Amino acid sequence: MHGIKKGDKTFEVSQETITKYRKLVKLVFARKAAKKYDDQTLMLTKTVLGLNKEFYSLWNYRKDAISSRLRDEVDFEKDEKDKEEESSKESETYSLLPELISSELKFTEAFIAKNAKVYPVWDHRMFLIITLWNRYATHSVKESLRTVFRDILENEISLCSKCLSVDGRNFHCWNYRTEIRKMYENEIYLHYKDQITTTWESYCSELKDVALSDLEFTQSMIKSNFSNHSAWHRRSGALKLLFKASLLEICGYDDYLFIPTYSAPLSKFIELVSDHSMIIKLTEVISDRIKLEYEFSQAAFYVLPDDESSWRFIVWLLRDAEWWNDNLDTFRSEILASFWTMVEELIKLEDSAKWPKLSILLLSELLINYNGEKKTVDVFRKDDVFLAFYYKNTKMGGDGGTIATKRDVVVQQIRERLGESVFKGQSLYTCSISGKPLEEGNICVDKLGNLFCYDVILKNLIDKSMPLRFSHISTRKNVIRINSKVFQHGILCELSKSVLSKSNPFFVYSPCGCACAKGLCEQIIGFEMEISPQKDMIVCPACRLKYLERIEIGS
Amino acid sequence: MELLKEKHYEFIISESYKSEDKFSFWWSEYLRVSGCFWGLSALYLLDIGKDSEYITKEKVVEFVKSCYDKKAGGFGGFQGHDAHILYSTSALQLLALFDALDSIEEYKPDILSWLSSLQRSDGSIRGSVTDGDVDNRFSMCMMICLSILGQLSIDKPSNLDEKGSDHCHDTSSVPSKSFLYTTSPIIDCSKAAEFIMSCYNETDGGFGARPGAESHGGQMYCCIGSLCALRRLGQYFNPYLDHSSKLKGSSHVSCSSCSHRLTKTYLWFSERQLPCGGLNGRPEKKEDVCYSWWLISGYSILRKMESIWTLESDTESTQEDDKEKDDKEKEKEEPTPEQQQLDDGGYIDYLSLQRFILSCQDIESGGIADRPEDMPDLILRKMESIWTLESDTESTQEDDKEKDDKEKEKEEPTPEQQQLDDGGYIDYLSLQRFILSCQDIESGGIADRPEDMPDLYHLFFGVAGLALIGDPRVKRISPIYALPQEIVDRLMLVSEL
Repeated sequence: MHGIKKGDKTFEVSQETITKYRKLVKLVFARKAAKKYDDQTLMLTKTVLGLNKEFYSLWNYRKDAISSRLRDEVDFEKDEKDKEEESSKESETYSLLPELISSELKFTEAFIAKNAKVYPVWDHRMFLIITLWNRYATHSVKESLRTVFRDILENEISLCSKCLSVDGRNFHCWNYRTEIRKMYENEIYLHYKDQITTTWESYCSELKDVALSDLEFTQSMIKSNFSNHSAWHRRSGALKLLFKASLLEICGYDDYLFIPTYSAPLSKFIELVSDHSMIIKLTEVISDRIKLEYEFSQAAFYVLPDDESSWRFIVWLLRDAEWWNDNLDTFRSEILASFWTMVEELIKLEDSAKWPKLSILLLSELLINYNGEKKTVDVFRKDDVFLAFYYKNTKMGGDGGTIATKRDVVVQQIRERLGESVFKGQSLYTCSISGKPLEEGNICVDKLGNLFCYDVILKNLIDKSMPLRFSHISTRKNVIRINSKVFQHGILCELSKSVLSKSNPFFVYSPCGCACAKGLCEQIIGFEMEISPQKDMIVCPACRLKYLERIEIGS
Repeated sequence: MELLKEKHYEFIISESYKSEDKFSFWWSEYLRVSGCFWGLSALYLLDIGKDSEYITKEKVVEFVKSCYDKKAGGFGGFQGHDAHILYSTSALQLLALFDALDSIEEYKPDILSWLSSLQRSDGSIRGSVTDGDVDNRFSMCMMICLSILGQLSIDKPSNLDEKGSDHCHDTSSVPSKSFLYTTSPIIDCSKAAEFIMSCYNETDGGFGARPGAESHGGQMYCCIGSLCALRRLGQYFNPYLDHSSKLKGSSHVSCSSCSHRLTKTYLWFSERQLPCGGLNGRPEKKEDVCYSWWLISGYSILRKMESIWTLESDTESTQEDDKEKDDKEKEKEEPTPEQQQLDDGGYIDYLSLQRFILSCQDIESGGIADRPEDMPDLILRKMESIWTLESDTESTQEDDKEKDDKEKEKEEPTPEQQQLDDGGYIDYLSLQRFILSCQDIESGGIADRPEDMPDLYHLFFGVAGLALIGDPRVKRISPIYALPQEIVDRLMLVSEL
């Protein structure tokens, strides 16, 4: 069971309780089948749920009971209304938060205080809030009820704050809070819907308030724990809302813009802005805020230099966020330059931290665009295998590239423990066993196309320490030595002098040991087949010796 | 470390039959169907207890049918409990496991109309009619239910609906296969996929339970699995699709491009493994055995799809008739179990592996006969899988038996670790060790972490995790349907894989 230590007896109760529990369950199910929705029902289910919070069928039963009783109440009110047709003071007598629901809210709150990680409890609370929302949204006179409803929502937010102060990562609570925030947006929309043309400004500013209060809340959450990924995540959502509200405010009223805000991505809106002064204003708002965000996350980097959450946030903010556009180019280049300096400084302080370097890599495409390529490479130490690997993969034209991060570190630790050398994937420039760069005259290849230093192979064969991955190499004859020239650890084609790469695979011929670009070989063979179509024309195109085997490398 | 098969068997039996004096037995009544599925499915994967007197098809069918909620049209967690999609999924999976789907033929129309009522207008799926909660877990459950009930089919390319796509591709450059979407008479598949993608977090590459929710390990299985069952994973993650839509010379990285998404999602996965080998579900959380399933399933789906996309884009360059393409796809889909083993190449390129094997065959007595004990089992096993792929139709039970025997023989000279699939960004070796270390040596069962209390849930997901990473002592499992691969093949369940 999740987090329950062996021998923990909290789950064991006396036989009597078990018997009582079973009896109660039977009784409740009988009443459920008979659709009894009285007070006793609520009492009984309360007792059973107290013993077993996960009992979803009973939560359903309570939902049914509440819905049914509220319906009765409405019917009753209607009858009353029919009797006294004059009564127009409906809104005064109408209680938005009936006793039934407010007591139910208290009931679930007690559960949440005890254990805030139970799906059905949060669902039940959401059900109650939705019920209230429906009562509010369908009611004819909303104006006077607005404060009541806002208070209800505010109460939910403060409940979440309380809950999150105990466990800042509780996703049930965060998700519930997000839903409540959406309801805020819905409410604001509903409230201004009818006179939107005249109240546009207050509409926008209320939306902004929602975003700002979330930014404030997440800031305090993050300050107390910089690695709170949930809070960082929520912050990204709040930023999106803030920018959208700002955009609406700047653009002024527009039918098209007036839709519930979370439903459309910001980038679609930005495309619509054509007025120059509006663009300038928007650019200003966005860049000011991003500056703040950048400074704020900087604090996190220095406190916890290797924490995933803050770095993911900054990478998203600078690279992926949907609001970047050409007008922000100058600002972006500045902030990237500043970021670069900051990270370089940080790397000097915390050489072993991975995320600063990884963030540079993830932003490398942008950094290169704005600041030139040379500098990027200087950041890395030679032994940062995983970073170099990632860098190579993204630079080698691999689409999207391969990311090898924590995995390599983990693997390295394990392999070291097992006395194996580090496993780095198929490399074209280093020895597959030792990781040493390839040197001319000391290169060999196995039948799979893995490249090795020949002396490493010999050593491993003599010591009988061949890694299991390469244990198909059991004698010297299992590898073929490559005689071709090498330029900066990359093998050169015997014919064209092009360098081996992923996009330029080679053939190695055995036993002669010549390496030639695959494309070229195929052209030559095709040409020769045309002029002298002999069937046993199998010679190495470089040295014209008969070959027995041909191995492809780099494909 | 040893896999305590016998102990696990005892644990499952004792959990199911002997713990009535414990409160936890009654407390957990609401998920009995799921518990039953976890236990029995674990037994199936461990290939143990087939002839047990405790477990018979009749008993299982009787039990599952007793959980049917006639009023609603779905299955509850136990007799008399309300219908819920979570338990309906487990119930249907159980019936599929025991080849007993015909036993609920009479309920089928009601079940289908109930399932249909669970989809909301935005494409999301509720857990039940009463309980209005929306969560991507339920989207995955819906896919499993519909597929087992035979309500998913592969659309003809002519019926394509481009509305679902959030970025417009040049249609001529798109491989035809990605347009063979899944359709269903019960739900709107395009909307379901759209909703799932609205839960994708641009911030970290993961998926949340609802739009705006934080990324969570469990959602990685649910969302990637659903998209794969809907055959729309390629639409959002196939990096070969966005060559045409790439902005030339622009400094702005298009954050909605497929390759960008794929890389980011891989980065999410790769960061989930902790030094102990286990995986966590969110940053800065502790490791837990169940994420061996939740994460590795989604991860292996993506990896397999990536290799399929690579193959597709390779073949794409040669012009073919549409008809030929269709035929080819059909061929491709059939040998799934073997392909599964094949595709999972990781850093080891399986094409070059094949080349290696072929070169071995030429020499005949070379590599294998010389020093067989030195041969890595990983390669041998993959060779076998390729051979079975070649003589695909001939595979009979005898072959399987032989294969089993062969594997058993091999287990002795080298540890089981070498038989694992290569994990790529995630180190399967240390993960395997972690799962095994969570076993309870005394009572059997698997706990969330070493020294914790074992339960059926973690037992199943631990074993399923072992199955995903290719532990030879466990049968293969489908990363989409959480059912043994044999059963998925028998039922011919639809997916993009």
